[in-house]
Amino acid sequence: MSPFFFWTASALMLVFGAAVIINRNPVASALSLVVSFLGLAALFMSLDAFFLGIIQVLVYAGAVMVLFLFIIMLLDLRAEERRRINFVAFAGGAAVAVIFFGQLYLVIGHLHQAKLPFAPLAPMQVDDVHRIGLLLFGSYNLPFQIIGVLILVATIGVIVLSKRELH
Amino acid sequence: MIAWTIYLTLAGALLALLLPRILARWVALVATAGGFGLGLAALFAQHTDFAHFTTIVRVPWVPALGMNYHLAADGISLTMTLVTGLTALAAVLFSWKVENRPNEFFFWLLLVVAGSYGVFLSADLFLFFVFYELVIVPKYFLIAIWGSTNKEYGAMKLTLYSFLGGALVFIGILVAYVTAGTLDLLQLTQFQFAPQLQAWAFPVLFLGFAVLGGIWPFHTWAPTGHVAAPTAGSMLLAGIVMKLGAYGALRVALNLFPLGFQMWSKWIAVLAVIGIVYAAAVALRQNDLKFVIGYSSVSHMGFVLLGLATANVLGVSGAVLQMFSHGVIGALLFALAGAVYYRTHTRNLNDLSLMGLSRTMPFITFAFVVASAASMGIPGFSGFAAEITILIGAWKTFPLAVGITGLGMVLVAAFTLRALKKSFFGDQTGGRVRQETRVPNGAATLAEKLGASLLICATLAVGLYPKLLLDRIMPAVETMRFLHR
Amino acid sequence: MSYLELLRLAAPEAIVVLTAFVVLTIGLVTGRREAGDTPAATAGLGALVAALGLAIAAATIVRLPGHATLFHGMLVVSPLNSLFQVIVLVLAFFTVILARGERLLPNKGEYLAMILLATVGLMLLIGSEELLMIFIGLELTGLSLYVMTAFDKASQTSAEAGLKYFLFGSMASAFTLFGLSLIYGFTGTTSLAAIGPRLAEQALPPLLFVGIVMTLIGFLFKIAAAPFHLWAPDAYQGAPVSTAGFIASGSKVASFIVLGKILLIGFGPVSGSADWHGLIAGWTPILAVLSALSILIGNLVALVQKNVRRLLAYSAVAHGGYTLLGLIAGGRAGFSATLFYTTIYAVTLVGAFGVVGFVRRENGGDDLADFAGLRARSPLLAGCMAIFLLSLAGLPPLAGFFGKFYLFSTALRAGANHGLLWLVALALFGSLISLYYYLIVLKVIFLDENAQATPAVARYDFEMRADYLPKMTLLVLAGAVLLLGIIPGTLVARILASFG
Repeated sequence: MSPFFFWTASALMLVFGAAVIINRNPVASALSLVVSFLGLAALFMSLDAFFLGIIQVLVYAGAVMVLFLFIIMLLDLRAEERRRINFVAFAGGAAVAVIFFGQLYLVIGHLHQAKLPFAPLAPMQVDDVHRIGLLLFGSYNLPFQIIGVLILVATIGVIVLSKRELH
Repeated sequence: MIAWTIYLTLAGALLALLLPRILARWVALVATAGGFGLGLAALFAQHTDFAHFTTIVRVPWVPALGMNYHLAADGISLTMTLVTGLTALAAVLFSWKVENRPNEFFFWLLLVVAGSYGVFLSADLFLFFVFYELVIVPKYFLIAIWGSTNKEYGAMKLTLYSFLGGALVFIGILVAYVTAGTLDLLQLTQFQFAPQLQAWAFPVLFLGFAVLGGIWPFHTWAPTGHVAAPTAGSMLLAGIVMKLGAYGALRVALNLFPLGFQMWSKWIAVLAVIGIVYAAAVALRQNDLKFVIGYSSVSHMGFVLLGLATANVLGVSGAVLQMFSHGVIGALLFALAGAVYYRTHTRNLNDLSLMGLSRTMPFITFAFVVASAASMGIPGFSGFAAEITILIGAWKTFPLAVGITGLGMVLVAAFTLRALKKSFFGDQTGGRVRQETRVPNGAATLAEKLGASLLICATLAVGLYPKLLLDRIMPAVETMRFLHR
Repeated sequence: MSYLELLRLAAPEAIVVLTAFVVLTIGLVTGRREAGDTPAATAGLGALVAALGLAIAAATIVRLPGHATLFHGMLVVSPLNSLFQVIVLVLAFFTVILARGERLLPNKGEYLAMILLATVGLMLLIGSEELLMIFIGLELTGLSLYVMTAFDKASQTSAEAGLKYFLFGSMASAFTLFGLSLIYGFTGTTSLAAIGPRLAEQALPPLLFVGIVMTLIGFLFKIAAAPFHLWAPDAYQGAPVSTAGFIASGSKVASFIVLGKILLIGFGPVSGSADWHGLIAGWTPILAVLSALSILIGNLVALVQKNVRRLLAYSAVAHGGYTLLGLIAGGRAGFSATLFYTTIYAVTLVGAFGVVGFVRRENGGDDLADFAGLRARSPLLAGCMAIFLLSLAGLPPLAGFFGKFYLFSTALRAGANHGLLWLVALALFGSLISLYYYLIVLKVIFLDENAQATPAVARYDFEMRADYLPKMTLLVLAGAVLLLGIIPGTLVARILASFG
């Protein structure tokens, strides 16, 4: 993977990820999220995981985000749009993050192991749909099914919590 | 046989809680009388080995961690069992008229008694500590529910101090357990702990016990707790609970860490002497009858600590005798103060002095005079026998302390006489008693008479013939290892 | 590895999932009314089926083979895992029974199903020794609990608690996932058993430490160790009472066992040391600092609480701190002490929340004032609460005391030259503080008179027949706390033996 490609895609993700939070307009937020997902897809592809990249674009950037936008447009979200950013809280949060990363940088910089080069990534071929299918129904069978239960929980939860009770 | 004191009392506690309220006090009476009888029988049985801490029961409890249900007894623990039974019986007799939630009252009361029996008979440190801590919470409820002046504050203060002491003891026990790898007291008293360890572990452990024993400057829970407690609660506190601390210090702290004890013994003596004099001086200024007795308890417990600090047979035996003696006398004083309060609804010495109680309460006055005499250390009562033994013992090690303690004894006599005069013999200047403050129902009930007589007999018996107990205490003291160095 | 064998070894989880489906169906088919509560018959039937399913699952676990490993540790059957899966099932069982009392909840079928699915998550957390499965288990548990927390839609605090729990929880999950990916990246494996040796053999890149710390965050969040405890007070106070009880019990047990496995099996080679004079870098000093923080913050903040559930929440933070002591001590002894303590703690808290549930139903609130005079109204509940709280305070002869003795003695033995004495002394100091606030609650129960003559909510009759079962359950729990204190040897031996 070329470093240039990595940095571009990561910067894309980070910038638009921040934009999701900073934008007061929900539609703009959702669209920023789409771009962020595209960056993620690009990263996947640069790691030779083409299938994952495509799925990322199709499912998340495509289907899920379209649903998101539908819902946002159906709801009246002007109140959110009018809300101002609390700059004190924003500055505080940003300060904590900066301090954390500064500390991380200092600590890591002082360790002699930090000077060692990274081990090269093991070459793996996971782009093949056939192989992914085999893995999912073979050695990753159990987590695959449990994720099914997980999604069921999410579904029940969403329905129960969003359903209007008759009183 | 003596182990049944624990089971009997525990069973009594459960029954007192569950049976109809009218039966609760009878259950308590039977349980405590049984415990007293068992204690008496065990102490005066023939062919008993008083010198050694002899195993009674030993059953594996938590084998994975090396805990045993291990009970043992020697002369010291049997003496303490006896005073527990005696005080408990008297306490039940003096709370015969508790009408408010009697089931719970006798449940908590018997729990304190059962825990105390357990402490005196345990030969496994874990078991010892279980019983030791078992006593804490019942005290809280006894005081907070049935107490009087400032009861919630007094109860909480007492509980937190006890628990603080317990936490220090816990650290000491853990260190001993982790280092020696056993919880068995008999094995631990043979184990040689490193001197560096003893140097810091001993003061932690000893201080933990001494908090409950009312050592200066950690004694402040005692007066407030005594004042807040109901009559039976004060009796148990003075008669038994403060002894738990002193007993623990003797049985566990001194025997586990003899080298540490050597290093620190003079500081213990200093604190003890300060406690004796300071508490007596404070008692002289108190206007609440129970505060006076409460501070006198602290002062008397100072003698116990001084006796322990001497580290010779006479001093330590005297300390044990003083534990017995003060258990009886302290309980008697509190019982009588409670009886007075029950009838007059005041404990203020100035108010009492206007009532001329000696005329309306002849029996209580008589008993209080006896108790005061015993408390002052008049020859013929147990207090004298115990304190003179301690002072002779202390003369060998801390001659200066004996001199200062003499001053303390004068103060003790002074405040005792002051309290006696003010509360019973009234304001004699005018020689008249104000009519409206006369108390109608002054006569002591049968239960009170029984309880008071029991305690008076005990202090007289030991005072006139101290060998009765000393013969059983001294052999046990002689085998303890901290003396031999 | 055949599908049949997978089904056989995962049968307990499968049974619980199926039970959840059945309960869900019962709720759907019979539970729909025009308005208001779930019909009593539906709730009763659902609870019965749920309890039955949990019991069958527990019976199935007992019949599993002694040792088996599937897919590099994704599903591990061992005596230890089986023991704790049974314990979690028992806790869920009690939760289901006590949830029966929560009449004001709509959608009872869904609620019970959520309890069951959360239990599946907990069972997977316990039964897995592989990072991917652990993460999925964590998420399954987490999602179910978020939903359960927000379940009481009539109450604003419930919604707030749910949202807070969800936001903090997903943040912590994100950290954990990032940490796990770093660990996977460096060691090339997600199996705990394989990570340990790899960590031991190579010079450790610093990013790996970052990964380890980030992984820990998720679990420290689950056990509500300070400073990751901010969600706990709101969740404990706002959630339906049985949910709060389940979060405090089942979720905590499972989190501690997983945390212990990850630390001791996976990260064992980089443990370090937290001894007073012998500090060595690793995760032990981090845990020691967090444990000290939890003990201090939890106990001190609990002092000023006026709401019993909030008080229990802050005390839970402190208890999390005590429990960490065992993991800091490390080794088989330390781990077993942690497991023993967390088990008895869970049993105690299920009971305590059960009592809170009763009081809440009667008085419409669970502030300290609502407990005033409970003794006069129901001596049974008051007595049970006294046993639970005194056990939490660590007073003998209750289970909490033995648990503390076990934990502290192991911790003291672990450090060279009593190196962990500072932490043990701090923990004892914390216990001293905690005794104060537990006694305040008991004082209110046993001393104070009920101030309000007429409660805001219509008073349920305390001796109602429908309450019979939950009350007996509370009595059983109180008895268990007492018995585990008097004869703790059986459970200790059981845990120690299950290490094989």
